[in-house]
Amino acid sequence: MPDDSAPSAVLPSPARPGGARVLAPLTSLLGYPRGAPFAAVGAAIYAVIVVVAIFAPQIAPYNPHDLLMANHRLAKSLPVSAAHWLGTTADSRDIFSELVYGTRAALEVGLTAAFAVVAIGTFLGLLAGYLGGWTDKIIIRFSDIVLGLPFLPSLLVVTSLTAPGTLTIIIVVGALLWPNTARVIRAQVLSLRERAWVDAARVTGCSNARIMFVHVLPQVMPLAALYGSVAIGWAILAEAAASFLGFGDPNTISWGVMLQNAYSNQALSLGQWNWFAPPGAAILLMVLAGFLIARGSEKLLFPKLAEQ
Amino acid sequence: MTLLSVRDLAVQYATRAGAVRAVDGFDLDVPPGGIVGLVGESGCGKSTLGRAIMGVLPETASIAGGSVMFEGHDLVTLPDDERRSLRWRRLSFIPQTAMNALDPVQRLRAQLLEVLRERGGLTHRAALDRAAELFRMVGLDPTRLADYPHQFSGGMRQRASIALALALEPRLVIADEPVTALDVIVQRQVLDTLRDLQERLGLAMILITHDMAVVAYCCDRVAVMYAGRTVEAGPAAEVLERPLHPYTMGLTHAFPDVHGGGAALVPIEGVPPVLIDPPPGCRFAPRCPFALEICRTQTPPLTQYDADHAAACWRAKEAASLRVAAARPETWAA
Amino acid sequence: MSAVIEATGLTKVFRGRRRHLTAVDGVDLTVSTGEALGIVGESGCGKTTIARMLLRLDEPTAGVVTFEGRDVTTLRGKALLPFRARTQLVFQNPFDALNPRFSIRRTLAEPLRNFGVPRAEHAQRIDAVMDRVRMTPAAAWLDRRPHELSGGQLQRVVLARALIPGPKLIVADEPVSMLDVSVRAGILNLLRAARDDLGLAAIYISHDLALIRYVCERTLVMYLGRVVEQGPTADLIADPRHPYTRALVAAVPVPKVDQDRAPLPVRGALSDTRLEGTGCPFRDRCPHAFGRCEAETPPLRLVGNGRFVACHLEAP
Repeated sequence: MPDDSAPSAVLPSPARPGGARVLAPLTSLLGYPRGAPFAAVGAAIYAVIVVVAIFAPQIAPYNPHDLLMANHRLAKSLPVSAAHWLGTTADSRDIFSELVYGTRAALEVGLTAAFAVVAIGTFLGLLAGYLGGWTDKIIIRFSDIVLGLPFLPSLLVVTSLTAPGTLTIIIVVGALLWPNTARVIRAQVLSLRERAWVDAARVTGCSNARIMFVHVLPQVMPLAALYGSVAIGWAILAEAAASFLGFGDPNTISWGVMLQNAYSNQALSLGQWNWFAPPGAAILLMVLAGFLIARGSEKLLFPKLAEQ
Repeated sequence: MTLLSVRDLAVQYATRAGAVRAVDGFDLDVPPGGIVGLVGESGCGKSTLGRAIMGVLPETASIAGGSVMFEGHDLVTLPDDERRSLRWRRLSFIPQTAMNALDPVQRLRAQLLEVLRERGGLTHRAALDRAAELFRMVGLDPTRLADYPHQFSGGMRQRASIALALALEPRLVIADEPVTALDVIVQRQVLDTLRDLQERLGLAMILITHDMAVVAYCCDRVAVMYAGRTVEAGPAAEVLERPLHPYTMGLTHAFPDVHGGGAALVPIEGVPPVLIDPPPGCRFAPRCPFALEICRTQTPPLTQYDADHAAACWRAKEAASLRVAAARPETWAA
Repeated sequence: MSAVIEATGLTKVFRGRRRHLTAVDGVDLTVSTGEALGIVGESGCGKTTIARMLLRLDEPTAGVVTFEGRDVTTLRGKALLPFRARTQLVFQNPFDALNPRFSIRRTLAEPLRNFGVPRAEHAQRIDAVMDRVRMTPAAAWLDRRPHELSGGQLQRVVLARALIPGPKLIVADEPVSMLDVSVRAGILNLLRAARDDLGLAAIYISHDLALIRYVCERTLVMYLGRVVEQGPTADLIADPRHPYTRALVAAVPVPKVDQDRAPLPVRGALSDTRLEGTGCPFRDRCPHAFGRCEAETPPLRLVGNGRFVACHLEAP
């Protein structure tokens, strides 16, 4: 005998509009809270950057590598004008086009590094939290050591051993930034491990690997994604710092390299704000976006606080 | 002459999906010095009711109608400061988990003293004596007043929150599931303490519980609650042995008896209604094996039948024959 | 009637940094096909720990568990799978026993997948078990998530998941204590019907003696990790021989106004510090305790008709 002809819990679940249904699996996977304004703004910023990166050739008026001419002469250090929205560099390159194409490098570094951080951190956090014992002890000690390594000096060492460039930066960021994520994931896994449905999974014959990756992992994905979005900002900042100090590849177009060029051409003392301000602002925006998403997702991270 | 008289009380919660009427038309009478049991299952509104009478509803809830007459005042319309002065002194509350009443970072002595001095105006000396007396009264060793709540076991914590509730000798105590979380031996000891106190101090109690056996053990009178309303009320013996409302009938057959002969337990299929937009008519009708057409369209009012025994059912007059059918599980499997 | 599961000398000691806690101390039990054994006791008596050890969720510190004649105490990993397929657990908290992200269908398919049931058979077995727990039409429920179901409905799914691999033994740990009263009988009746139809052996764990009376033919009464009394349930309740059992039976309130309200024959409450070492664990609360109770742990003695009592008062 069915409990009810139409199954319903004691409280009704709110109706979902049609469009939300399509997005629902995506949003529930990422766990992004709908209707959280901070997070929405952050996500919007990311979205804009992604769009600009994809349509860079269409948006940028010039090829950023081209040396441009104006009035039969190299267009060096031109101020803001209709032809050059942000003016030109000392090398006669269009700043606005450089800025636009810089989104690609930013995303490339940001996304790859963030992915590495999240992947390594989640994997190790999952193992440490669920398996406990020696696995946990080893991973924690290892993460403590990595946590102690300072970023720029490590980058310096690695670059001197290999070559300056975006790939090196990505590798160093990935190798150094995972411990925080690992600790947080580990903590969440520790509490999830005590839940009855984990015991149920064991009793119904699941292997440890299956429990970790099929049962528990989806539950920590929202937290991992959150740390990922913060890691994007961190990675971009790291790339900018590294490029600014000369560890970047001077042939790539990135905001960090732009800042390095501006600095070495004394744009600051010459008052060429149109050169150094935009890339700085862009970096700021990306980091801010990551922060907004994290802040806006607090309900996800600390639901008990919200209740109080 | 009743001590507390609740009439047609309604309490609603504001939720994202709309206003939920957790209590919707509730009636209750508590005679002075009597123990009244309030029985119902989860979602029936009994905890909300306890808090509404005390005036300690959460922010999202508000009283939407009805009256609560206590010692000549209507608690619903009473201004906040007057209601607060009644709390602890005339009317007090024992919440479901003792840890909701006890401050984990304060010694028990300090918590009792706070109530005795600030609300009761006792001197420090008098308050200390009274605190020791209260502990003895609830069966706790007065030397343990210096302890923190976490140093007490569950049963002891519950006794401590009873002591707190009785500190200023209120006339009415509302106890919300006071023994649910306790082991059965401790449960029995705490219930015995409550009964003993009630006899000695002449206080009235509303004992909120889901357990009919606890009601049978402790209470003189019973009110049965379903989906926010009173469906039956009367002397405990009457309601338990000769229930008038089908829900009560089902409920009395849903509890196994430890000495029992193994009579089959009755399952009441279905779930209580969602209280945002309750259906018309009797709220129990969808689950009731005896429901008629009128039950689905018109809400039965709480009507007195025998002296002192009231029920909200269109078929209460046929209760005797319905009871026979209700004792059989097949009736409910319809 | 053959024994489905047998435990001998089952012991669990939790080692802390300074002290250790003997949660279960030398418990023997046997359950045969079609039989329902009750384990009753208050919090801290070790009944849940026993259940976890029997199901190999926790490792026993000492003792042997034999299932269908084979010693399963030290099996691990893959070797444990056949045992897992034949022993299942019904959990106490229906709201926590299901993975909140899995649909009901996925939850039910999981044991089938793990125990090697071919995919082609999954749909049919899922429908069959949903029918057994009276959640029909199954299609209305299978795509739902746990948060959409009520407690009673969830517990039916928990039961369905336990029954779907075709076990020989079901352990039910407080299967209805978190459910509304009106819903409890439904679940208990389903459990009983499943036992009758499928010839299952069952172990019910509860603090509610009235419930155990309703469902179990035989009962073990536990106190602080030891079995103090054991025997046919009705006899045990009608004529309790151990002082703790006597107190327990007297303490259970009855849904009748006319009941015994005499003071309980027991002193105080469960002590926070367990009495380690020899001696009867109940000695500090027992109204009849005497010298021997302190010096010697009473063994479980047969006192007739399948009844065992661990009390010096019953000594010959």
